[in-house]
Amino acid sequence: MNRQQFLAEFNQYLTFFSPEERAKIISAYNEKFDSVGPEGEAALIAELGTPMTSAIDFKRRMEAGIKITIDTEREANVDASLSEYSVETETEESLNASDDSSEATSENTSEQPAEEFFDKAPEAPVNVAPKEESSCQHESVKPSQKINVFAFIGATLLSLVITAVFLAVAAVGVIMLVAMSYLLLTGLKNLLYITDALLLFGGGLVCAGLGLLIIWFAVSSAIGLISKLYRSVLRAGSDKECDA
Amino acid sequence: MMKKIWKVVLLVSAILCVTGVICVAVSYFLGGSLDNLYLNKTALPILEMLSPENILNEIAAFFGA
Repeated sequence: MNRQQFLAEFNQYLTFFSPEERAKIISAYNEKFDSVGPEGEAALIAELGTPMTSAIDFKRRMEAGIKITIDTEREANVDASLSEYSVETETEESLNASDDSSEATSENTSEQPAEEFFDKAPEAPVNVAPKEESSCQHESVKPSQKINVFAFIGATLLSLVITAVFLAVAAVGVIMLVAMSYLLLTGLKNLLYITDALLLFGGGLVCAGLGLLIIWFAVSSAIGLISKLYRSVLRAGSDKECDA
Repeated sequence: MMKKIWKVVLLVSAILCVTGVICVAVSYFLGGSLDNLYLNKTALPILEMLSPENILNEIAAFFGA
């Protein structure tokens, strides 16, 4: 796995962050890759682990609050949004040490308000630090607590409409599959007339192929649209809380 | 996950469609045609049942009822 593949896959697993945050995290990782150069790429990837575990670990640390601190040194050199996030790789020693400290820190964080939490000194290997939206950043970790009820009901109604529309589309696919079964059965009955049988088989197989495509299109589109709808509702809810 | 399923569905559909087209092509090559198929008494009821006009009539009857 090279750098591009790692970052592309890693980006896919960062779904729990907003697009802006994701871009900043990726650019921070890019910086890290730039700093080690092409010869250190493989070692860095090996150190980070798989993109999935890396992303899960990133989220876990963010939730636990161990590795998310304001990078005060970088803040002094404010330069675009790229400098807001910094990523440092972890050796096994630092991982073990941080795991030990994580339990203690997570106990402490439950007692600390969010502002104090982000004011902590950057001891952790991974630093993710929004400067201005620090109070909201912590809250956006749990957007499910701030769902707008009306938006949620609207999304549910809209998802019902989407389901109905795509059910109608899927019904066309089902009709084609039924037609396929009829055509194939009739073809089997007409095996004596080989040309007719081949025509019926051909028509049946084409119907089956198109029917499968239509059904899968309907199912995947419905799932994609509905999940996008609910995600945007959840995100809008957490954004509103941040604005307030 | 969805991408993998999509690839499998696309592959299966492509295979079915290509096989179907090959069957029809071979049938035409052997001298078969749609007109001859309509003369087949066993196939005629199914062909009439699956004709677009009949399907539209059934849909209209379903919603009109």
